[in-house]
Amino acid sequence: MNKKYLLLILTLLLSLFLFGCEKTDIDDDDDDNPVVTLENITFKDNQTMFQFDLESFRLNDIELQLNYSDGTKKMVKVDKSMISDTDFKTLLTTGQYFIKINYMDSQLEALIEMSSTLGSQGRLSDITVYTLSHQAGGKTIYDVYSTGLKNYYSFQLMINHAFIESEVTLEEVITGVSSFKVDEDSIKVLYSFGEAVSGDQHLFRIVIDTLSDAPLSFNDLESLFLGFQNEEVVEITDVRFFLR
Amino acid sequence: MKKRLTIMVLMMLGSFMLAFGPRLNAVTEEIYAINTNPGENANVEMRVSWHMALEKINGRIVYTTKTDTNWDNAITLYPDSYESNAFYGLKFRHYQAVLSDLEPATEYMYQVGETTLSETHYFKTAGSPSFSFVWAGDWHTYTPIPTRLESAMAIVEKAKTVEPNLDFFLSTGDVVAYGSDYGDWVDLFNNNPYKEYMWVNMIGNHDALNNVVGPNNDDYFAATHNNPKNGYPGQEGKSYYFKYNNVLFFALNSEDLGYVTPVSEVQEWMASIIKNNPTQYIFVSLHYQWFNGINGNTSQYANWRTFFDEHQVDLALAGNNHIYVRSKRLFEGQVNSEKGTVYIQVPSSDNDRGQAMNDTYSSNENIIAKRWTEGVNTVGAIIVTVDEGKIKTRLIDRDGKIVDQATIFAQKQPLSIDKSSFKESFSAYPSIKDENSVVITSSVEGIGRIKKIEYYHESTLLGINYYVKRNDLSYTLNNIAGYNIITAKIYYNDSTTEEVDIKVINQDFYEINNLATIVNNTDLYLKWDYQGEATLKAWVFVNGVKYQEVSLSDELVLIENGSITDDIEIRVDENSLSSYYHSSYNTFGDVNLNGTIDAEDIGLLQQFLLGNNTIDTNALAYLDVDSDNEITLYDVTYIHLFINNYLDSLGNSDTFTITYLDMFGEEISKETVNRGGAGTYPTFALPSGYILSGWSKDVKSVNQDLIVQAIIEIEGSHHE
Repeated sequence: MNKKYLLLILTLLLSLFLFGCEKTDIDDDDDDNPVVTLENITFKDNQTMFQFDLESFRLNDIELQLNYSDGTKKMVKVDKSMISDTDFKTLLTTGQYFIKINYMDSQLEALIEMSSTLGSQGRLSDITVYTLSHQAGGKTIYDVYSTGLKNYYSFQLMINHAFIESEVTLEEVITGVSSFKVDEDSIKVLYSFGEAVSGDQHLFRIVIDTLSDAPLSFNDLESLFLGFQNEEVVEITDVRFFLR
Repeated sequence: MKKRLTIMVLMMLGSFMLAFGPRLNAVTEEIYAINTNPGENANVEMRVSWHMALEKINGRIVYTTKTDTNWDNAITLYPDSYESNAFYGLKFRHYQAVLSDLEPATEYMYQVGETTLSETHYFKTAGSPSFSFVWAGDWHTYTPIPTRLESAMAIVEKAKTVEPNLDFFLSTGDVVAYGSDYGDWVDLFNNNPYKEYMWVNMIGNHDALNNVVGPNNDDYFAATHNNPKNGYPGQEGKSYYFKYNNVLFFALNSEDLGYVTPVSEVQEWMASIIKNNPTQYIFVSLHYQWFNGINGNTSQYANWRTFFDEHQVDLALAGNNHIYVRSKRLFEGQVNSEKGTVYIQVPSSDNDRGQAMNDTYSSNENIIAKRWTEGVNTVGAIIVTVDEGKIKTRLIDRDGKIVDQATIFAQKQPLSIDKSSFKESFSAYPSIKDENSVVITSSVEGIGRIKKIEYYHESTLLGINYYVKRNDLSYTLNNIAGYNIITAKIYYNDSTTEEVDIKVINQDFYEINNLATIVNNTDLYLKWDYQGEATLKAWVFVNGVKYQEVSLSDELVLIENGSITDDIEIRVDENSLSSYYHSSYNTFGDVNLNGTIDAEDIGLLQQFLLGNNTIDTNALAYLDVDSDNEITLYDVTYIHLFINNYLDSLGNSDTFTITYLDMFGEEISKETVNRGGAGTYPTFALPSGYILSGWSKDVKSVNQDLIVQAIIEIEGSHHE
């Protein structure tokens, strides 16, 4: 008796399953509304070699050109997500080098010639500080990073800004003892770690409560990175500041 | 032939008897050759020499002040003696008494002997504000020619009429014709000036002359005198120095000087004596002349002028030449009115062996002020008077007429002393040699500036330190176990007196460690570790002012209303003037003064740098870690590194200097230590006879520049 009911239920379930697999007809040949496809990606104007000044270079100075099947083009500015960390750091140095840019499934290779009027060392500075910015949620966000060849134990950054009417706040990212002061046209940031900081570091974030393209700039003279050598606290002098 | 031989032998025997007659007569006397010589500190010490027969082994000297006419307070000493055979064919017992602890500027009288005593002799101790002595020389006592000695004694007696307030006599040698003729010495000392005064004598070439058997010998002099045994090696009692008031005298043996011992070595010895015995004036006397009085040519002057310049010798005394010569005041070979040395040599005084001089100079006319002689029959002497401002010299002839005189103004001021500082320098330490003894130390600055220090326990006099030379800065009081306080009564040269109570330091006092000033919730504390006797107490001083008595076992005391700038000390006693332990707040980086250095301090300091907050002004001094006089990110970084143990201490750039001095105040070395760091006591070569018993200050945690002096104990007795 029980076996009879169980068989009936299984038969019903199988019937329902087979009904769900019924074939539908699809018409792929729609000539009235042709599909536009991305045919390839090139650098803007098919440029493959770029010349930049190290100080003023921005990643979005490099633009990708998306060429579609209908002949249209779309321009996309390069951002840090499109290049490797290694290539990003290469772009912080002077010289001539190839940079790979990954976008969608494509990879482009650009020959970059980076020069500097401040003199070229051909290598990463002992300390390089740079910012990357983006906008989100109606705010402008500047992320401040450091990289370089040397350790540091503390720093003072003086950053000039032009967000006079905006509210500027600073969010600590890296762990340390920090203090900052926002004035009308500058932000002074102090950080002390009590230990060595090295490599690629996301230091802090400056949040502007408006969408703005107003620039930031580092005040080299009032900024300071300190190292520790032979029981002495010493200034690291090879420090470069970039906006990227 | 045999008869002639007999006659010759008799003649020789006769000659021998003639030559030695006085000596042979002398030994039949019980006491002879009595004379008084200076003690090393003539203010309080004199030395007496006399001879007795060999078997007289219980010789004594009885002395008292001249005013004690009934000898009621007389003291009897039984001094050491030795068997002398310095004179050929003669042996006697040479007594050498040292009369110590005398009253300055006081006339004394004494007698010597064994069962019977000699006639009375006299002397006067130094100590008067001004003093005078008569200086004569080259009278060549020779018994066959008695007029020599008579002439000399006559001129010194004449000098007494010119200067009645004489204090002593001085001769620059050649007082006898032949040192080997014992009788001449005896004759000499039988004259009244030798009975009435102390004599400063030194060896002339005649005093060492041997006309009997063997070579010349300066032992004749040593065997007839009792000068201080403080000469350079081999010359003890022959070359010597002594201090008379504010003058350091050197009396040198010309027969050794430059012949046996190089002049440079002697000068090296003298330099150390000068260094160790600060005085206002320095006089150097020796026998051989500075200049040849006949023509002015240079003699010993060439050997000594540089040394005298360097050491600010005021008066150079010599003889031998029999012609009086007085130079102008000379410095670097030039006449100088303000500094330098006056070179004088005394004329002869025996009316027998003088010599004439040329009318003109061959050299040095520009630097010699005066020459004088009476030819063969010259008799002259010089009176020297010294006070704080000047030295006055007067040459007199046999009639007492002043032939030449000069005033030499002091080139150095009278030695002064910071009395307050000197009093603070006293410490009393348990002896490391004897648990029942205590060593009192005080500053070398007292040498030459004070007359004496008397040490008392309550009213009991424990000892007297005359503070003559540098090893007197350590004075051991014996058999005073249980005395906690010693009172030092200081008699300064300016006749003022002061007292200071000195706490005897308990050895456990040195068991304090890790002394530190800390802040806890803004309250200031002094804390330490202590492992000594639980009941031991000490006194805490704050900024030099006594604050509170503490039991060392408490290991903590609150400093009420204390400031982190306070200098806090632990002293042995509330009356103690000097500290061993010093502490001051030393916590660099404690911005909020909560006694802990942590991230909160870093944050506060950053806020300060940004201008977001203020910090107590006093605390700022402890935040400038790198001592660049400003608070910067550097200081923040140092402090943070310290928090994370990357640094052992803060203030690496904030250093202090510890200057280590030996017991005489001479620098041994300097050491630089970080704030709060520990110093290391240096090792150094102690002179023979000294034991290092410790150091004046603790250097375990240094918070200020320190001067740390070695504390020494004299290995033996410092009394002769």
